[in-house]
Amino acid sequence: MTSLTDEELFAGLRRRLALSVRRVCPLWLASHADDIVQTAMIRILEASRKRGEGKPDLSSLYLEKAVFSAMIDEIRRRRRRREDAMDEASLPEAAGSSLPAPQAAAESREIAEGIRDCLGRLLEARKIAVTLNLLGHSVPEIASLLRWKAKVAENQVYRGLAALRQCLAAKGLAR
Amino acid sequence: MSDIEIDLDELRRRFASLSAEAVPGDSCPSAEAIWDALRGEAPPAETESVVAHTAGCPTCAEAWRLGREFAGKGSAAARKPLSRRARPWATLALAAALVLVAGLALERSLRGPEPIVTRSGEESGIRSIVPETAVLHRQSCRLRWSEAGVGARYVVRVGAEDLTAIATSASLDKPEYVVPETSLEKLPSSATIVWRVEASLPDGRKVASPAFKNKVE
Repeated sequence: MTSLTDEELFAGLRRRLALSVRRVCPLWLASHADDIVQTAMIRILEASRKRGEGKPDLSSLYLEKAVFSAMIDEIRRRRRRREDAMDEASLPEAAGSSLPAPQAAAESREIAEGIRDCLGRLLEARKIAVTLNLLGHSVPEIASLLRWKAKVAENQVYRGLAALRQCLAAKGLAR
Repeated sequence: MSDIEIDLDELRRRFASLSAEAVPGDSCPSAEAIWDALRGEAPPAETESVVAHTAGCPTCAEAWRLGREFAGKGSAAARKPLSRRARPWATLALAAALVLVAGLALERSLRGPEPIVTRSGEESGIRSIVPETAVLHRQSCRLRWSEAGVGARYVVRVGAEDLTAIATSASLDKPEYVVPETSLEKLPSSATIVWRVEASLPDGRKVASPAFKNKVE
């Protein structure tokens, strides 16, 4: 059996990173996908060098974490520099009747900000439970993530959501 | 009072919509800390701290959603260590799970891919209408997809398999786009293009398609 040359190893690593990036890269960031792959690759090789290992860790989970970190850092960097503003602006500018009415857009924004404000007013445990729920996690997932009993998680989510809706209603943002 | 009744899906969409214009602050947890928390690999107190921050930080919320796409739903639950009480059942449960997984894998391979779920948690309804096996002509490389909704507008991004950008459409009001022939000039024959669609709906929501692949002659 012949072992992989460094060149083959790097080519394979790069291919796997590119696939991983392509799987989840937001559209507005797609044109910078190569940069993300490059950053992840450098970090993986650097970490391997620091550990004094000849070959990098090629486990899928490790590669995914490296890609995730590189992608989030890139998103943050671009958001800070507001470079993404142009990409966002290139998205559908409403024309005629297909555009959201300014009033509707303002109302939508107001509700979103209201949710954030109301979340911040919840008791800490409820805030955490409801935030995870709004991020898409089910009650069993929340219980598992926070090492809570299922009943506790369920209670915090439902009471928290009720309080959130009550807060939004008090602000006149929902009924 | 607003006449809007907000169900859970709507709350999630509105919460997610905050991320579009968000700018990260100086106190944001590292990407690695978010990853560890959402995979259930961080201590509970650390996870709570990251989530509490995320409640008020749309950029970190966006990162969390992105991380969920990598990790897959339920990954943390799947990694949870079994309690002592549960262990006697572990072997039987594992055997049953293996049988179930094998069955599901077979069923899934026959059924095709899972529905696409966007970062806002909603199912993306955008599907390619171009057959995956179709070979597109360079002179008329027409990409077509299912409508995302009434009044939706679309942006299409086309790239090569190595993720090099090839073309990006303007804002389109119809679910089709012809890739300019000049944009395809550098592609070798029988090259594969990868394309994705992002739709903006009249109510401000955005829906992204999965990546579609087609060969170009």
